Amino acid sequence: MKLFEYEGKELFAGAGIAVPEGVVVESIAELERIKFVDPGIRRGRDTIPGSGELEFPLVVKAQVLSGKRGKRGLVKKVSDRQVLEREVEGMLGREVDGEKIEKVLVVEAVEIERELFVSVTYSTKSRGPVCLFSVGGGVEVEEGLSVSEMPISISNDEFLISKQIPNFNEQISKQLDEVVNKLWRLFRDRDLFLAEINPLAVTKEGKLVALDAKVVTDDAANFRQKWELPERNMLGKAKSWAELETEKIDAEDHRGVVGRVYLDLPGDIGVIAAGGGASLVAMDAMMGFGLAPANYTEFSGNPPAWKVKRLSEIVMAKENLRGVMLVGGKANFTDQMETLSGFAEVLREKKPRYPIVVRRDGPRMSEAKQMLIDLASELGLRLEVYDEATPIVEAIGKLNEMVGGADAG
Amino acid sequence: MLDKLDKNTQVIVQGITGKEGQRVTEFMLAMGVKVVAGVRPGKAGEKVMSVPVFDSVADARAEFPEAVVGCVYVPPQLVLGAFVEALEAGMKLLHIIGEGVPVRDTAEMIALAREKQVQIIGPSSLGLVVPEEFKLGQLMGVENSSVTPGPIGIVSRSGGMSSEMANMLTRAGIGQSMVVHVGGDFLVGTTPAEVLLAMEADSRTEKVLMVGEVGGGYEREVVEIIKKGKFSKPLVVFIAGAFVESLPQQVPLGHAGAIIQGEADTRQGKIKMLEEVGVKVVERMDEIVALLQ
Repeated sequence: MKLFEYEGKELFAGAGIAVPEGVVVESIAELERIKFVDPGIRRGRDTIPGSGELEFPLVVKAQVLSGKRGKRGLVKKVSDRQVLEREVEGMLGREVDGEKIEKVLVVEAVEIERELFVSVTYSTKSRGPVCLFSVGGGVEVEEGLSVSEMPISISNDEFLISKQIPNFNEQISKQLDEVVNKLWRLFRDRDLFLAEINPLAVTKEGKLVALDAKVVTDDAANFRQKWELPERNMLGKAKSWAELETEKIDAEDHRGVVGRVYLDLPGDIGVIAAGGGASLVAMDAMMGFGLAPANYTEFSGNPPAWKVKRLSEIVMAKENLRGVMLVGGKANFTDQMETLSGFAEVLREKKPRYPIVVRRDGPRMSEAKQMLIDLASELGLRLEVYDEATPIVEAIGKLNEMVGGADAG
Repeated sequence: MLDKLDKNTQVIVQGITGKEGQRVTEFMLAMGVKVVAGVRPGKAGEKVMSVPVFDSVADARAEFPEAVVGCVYVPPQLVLGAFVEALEAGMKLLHIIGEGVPVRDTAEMIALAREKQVQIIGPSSLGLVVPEEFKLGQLMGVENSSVTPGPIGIVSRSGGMSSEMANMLTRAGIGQSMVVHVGGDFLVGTTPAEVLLAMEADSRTEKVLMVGEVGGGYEREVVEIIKKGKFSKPLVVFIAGAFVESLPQQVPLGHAGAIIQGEADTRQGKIKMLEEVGVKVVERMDEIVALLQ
């Protein structure tokens, strides 16, 4: 799961990495929680983290999961209360890439001497953890400033970056060692997939402060990590009804993986995909024809009929669908009669008028195919069933024909 | 090790009494694979489809010292422990099914495997098949009608695509030397490039079909071994994933591996890189057969 900046900074602070004093607000009224301190009183002095004491100038930062906030006007420096309120009001509720801004982080502006970039993640090159470091931070890195990549041994308790970059600025090298080592341990101990500080600021006072936090947790490790974070979908939005419903499916029965991935999309073709790789081929083919998916979801393994039924119900609950496809490759062991029966039950209950294409193969497919064909003729459905003899792309071409092409909607 | 697998290879299944373990045993036995022993602590003396069960890998190995190839079919949170046990008992090639193994555990397994010169296929892998000779895992299921012996090696990040591709070739009258599903996780024990190296050494393989995906840097390694002349057989690569790139942010669809890290990890970036070293890249499945005939 991807964390918001403020969540990442809380993690950093907990690991002993300095972050600017800040307060998260969800409304103008919540600005009251800030204790405004007169300028000069404590500039440069240490404060108690979480005290809520802030001193102008401040920076207002929209809490969204997408990047490049600076360029999109989602990070604003403010020097008095009036401008602060105006900027907070302007950001809250705005939509960015379909993600609504629900929180803003108000932090003290830091006087920056220089910016660095440091990140710990996994690399497919070394097939283990790596530390990425650059002598410039912020957008410079995104724009291609060179980044050194240093593999870290997974069994290492300590990672000292000064040993890798011996000639880097002596004054801050000890502090940098501490920050990077804390980041490495946090990364390892909390099962993170990414822990990135960009920029890591060197302040006028010569201190290292994390001005941003990009953290991605490894969901697979949730059985041993406790995260008390608000729910979010993969695009950072609050979860939709369908997303919450699909999530419940696997919780009730461990057989097969059904609806673990579900995304609401703006199109009008319902999608139930089976198996990872073939699903992507199918989605590519849909896009090739100009068809727009209403959702993306998948099931895999060998689930019982009721789970596929529930997933199909959720997909077909969407209004204004122009067509539905259930598509997958030739399964290694998924029982087609079982899984497609679940889909068939929903067809029997809903009797949709729009075209439906099934393309699938695997154990008991011929039985399943006959069952669907019989059902279609009994209910008068516009249903086509294809097996391995018809390539995925061709089956989707047929759906395209049946719905009248991309523009018919 | 991959090019040495044949009818005589003996296999040990860890977690053989579980549902998945029983199924994979059934699939391998159906192909005539010598599954000589299973492991499940506390169930020594039992049998799963004629295969004797032992308390530990060490016990199984004491009885079958030739067996150094195994399958790990235990829940994801137990995979690392089971792997370490197998390693200590002297196993040399381990196939790991576990979907949902934490990436930190995988990194630990890869580090240990390097140290002990052990090969891992997976995690999140359905395994591999040498048509009519050998199967490790559950790839192609119980009936094996999708595969037939021949000159094409297939390597894929997706289990579904492995069988889909093998099936497509078989139907076109083109046989396969070996089909390897390396697994869809971000980190994998054996990379596609390492499979290509095994296929270079494998006299049965003449040409290779690789199924790529957006995200992850494994195609870069492939480019490197071609540049260095370590892999020289004709290679056709199919890369899916335009849909994932159309989404506004990093969304791990299909497999955890489909996470885009940088420019070279995008579909277009990979296609360019591969074409520069003479690899034929196709974006439509129906172009593949003609290129491998």
